[in-house]
Amino acid sequence: MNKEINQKISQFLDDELDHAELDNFLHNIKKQPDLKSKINRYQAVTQVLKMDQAVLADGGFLEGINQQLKDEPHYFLPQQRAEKRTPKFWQKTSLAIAASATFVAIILAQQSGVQSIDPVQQIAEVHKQVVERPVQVAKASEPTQHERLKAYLQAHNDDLYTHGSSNIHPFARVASYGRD
Amino acid sequence: MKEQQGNNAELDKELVLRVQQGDKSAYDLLVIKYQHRIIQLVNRYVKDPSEAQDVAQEAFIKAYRALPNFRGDSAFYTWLYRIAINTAKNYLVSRSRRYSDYQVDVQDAEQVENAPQLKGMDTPEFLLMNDEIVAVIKAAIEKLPKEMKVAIMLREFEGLSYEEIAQAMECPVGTVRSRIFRAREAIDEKLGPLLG
Repeated sequence: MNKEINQKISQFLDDELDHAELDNFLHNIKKQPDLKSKINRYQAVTQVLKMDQAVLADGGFLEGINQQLKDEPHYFLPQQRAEKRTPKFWQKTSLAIAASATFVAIILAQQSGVQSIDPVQQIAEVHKQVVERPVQVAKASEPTQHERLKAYLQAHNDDLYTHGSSNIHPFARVASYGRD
Repeated sequence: MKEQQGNNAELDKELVLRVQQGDKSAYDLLVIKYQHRIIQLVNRYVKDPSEAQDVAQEAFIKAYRALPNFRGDSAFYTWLYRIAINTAKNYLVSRSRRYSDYQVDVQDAEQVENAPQLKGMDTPEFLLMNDEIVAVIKAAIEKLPKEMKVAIMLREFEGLSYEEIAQAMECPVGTVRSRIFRAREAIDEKLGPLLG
């Protein structure tokens, strides 16, 4: 087991440790603090081979750092990163279905010979229809309503006169008072 | 070589991410990995070895504090070097020492690291200890079987990746991994009693 861990140290120093092995490696280093001195010695070999000189850190180098960081106020410590917002499965599915439906609609429209219209032009046309429609409706319905009202008032007046209720003012006269 | 540097940066990135997520032991690994190089760098500015270690420690602490803001635009290694140089310069300014002779740019970091002589490491105790360590390691290397010796030399001197060594030695990558490890173990067996 130790041999295996030592080999991982060797790989780590050579940057040949696989990412997948990193968790296990960290766990082992935590569990066996004496492995840190092993790493130190391996590094000494590297230094001597490269420079003919061994500039080594004191045994308490790391501990000194840890001690100072331990005394740090909490806010100095690296904060937990916000969890990445990844779309949930149902969101992904809905999006995929919507995209597929749109795609199919476009393909079907093209196949059925519908000419593609410039989107800007299409929007302009729709806008025109929406803006003009109430005006058109109003113009069209105005004579009808007016005629109906006129007919109603006429009938009302006729009725009054017919039944001899002279003391009741016909509505049409009252209503038209201000206009005259 | 480039591929290896890429792998290096990727592994460091992963460790940095873990530290940012609150895993302190990942930072321990980064410290262990770079402590010697940072001490060497700081030693170019600060002559006294024990002061150099203090300054190097301070650089690591500053880096830890700044890690939440580290976005990974540059490699962790380069970023750490910059912090170490600034820490050393600030230290010298605060001590009103002259340091212009030792000014080193971040781009020169590699050259500094590989410089053959380091100023300041000239105390009798250091020289004696250093000579002993160097002698033990060299003797251990001489005794290594040829395949192991070639593998570790290609790795340490040439900086080749395991894959490149495997191509050069015409053997599987697993064999290279094993040879380098066994070479280190053999040397460590001799070095262990000396360094403890």
